[in-house]
Amino acid sequence: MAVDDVLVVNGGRGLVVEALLNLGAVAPAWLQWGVGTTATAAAQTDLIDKTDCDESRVDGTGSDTQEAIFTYRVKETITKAGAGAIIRELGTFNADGAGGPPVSGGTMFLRAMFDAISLNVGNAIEFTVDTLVTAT
Amino acid sequence: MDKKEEMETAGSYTAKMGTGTTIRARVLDKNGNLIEDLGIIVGKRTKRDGNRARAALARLAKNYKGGKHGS
Repeated sequence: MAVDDVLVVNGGRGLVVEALLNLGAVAPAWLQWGVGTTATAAAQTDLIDKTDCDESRVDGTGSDTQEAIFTYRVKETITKAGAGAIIRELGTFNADGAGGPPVSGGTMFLRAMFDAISLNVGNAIEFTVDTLVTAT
Repeated sequence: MDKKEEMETAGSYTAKMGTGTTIRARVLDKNGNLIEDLGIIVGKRTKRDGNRARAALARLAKNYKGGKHGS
């Protein structure tokens, strides 16, 4: 069965409010991947499992899209290094993180789970994450 | 896209904050060349695109060399 799960977590909702109040919120434009298989939950603050996922976060430089101005887009490529892995989750963060590898820290805005993507070393995934600001 | 085409989600999709959010993925080789265009891996997509994505994921899995092996 296909996996399809995405959630703007509590930290992400806080960033939206901070932005509206002009409190210096930094755009969640950094992407990081993992191999976790736990369903999304609002209280989550990080990816679930980063085994063999020592790659740095990449800065996707958030933007609105040409297609719809109510869409926040983060687009960037992560390249697999060190070891192959079966990628199953993705998070967007407001910082490049620290420590590790794998890195952690910053505020996670969104976490998503999807069908397993089997990556060998040197392979990469170009992600385009479009978060819609909907009224329904 | 043909507007009459039947739609599906990539899987069981629950409406939450972030509803309508989509994630697209393209898998590239070490030279930046496209290996597989998975299309939408999270969010609403056509059934045709879903079938295409499943086939692409299966090809990637077949070529997977495992954790510590080379490219």
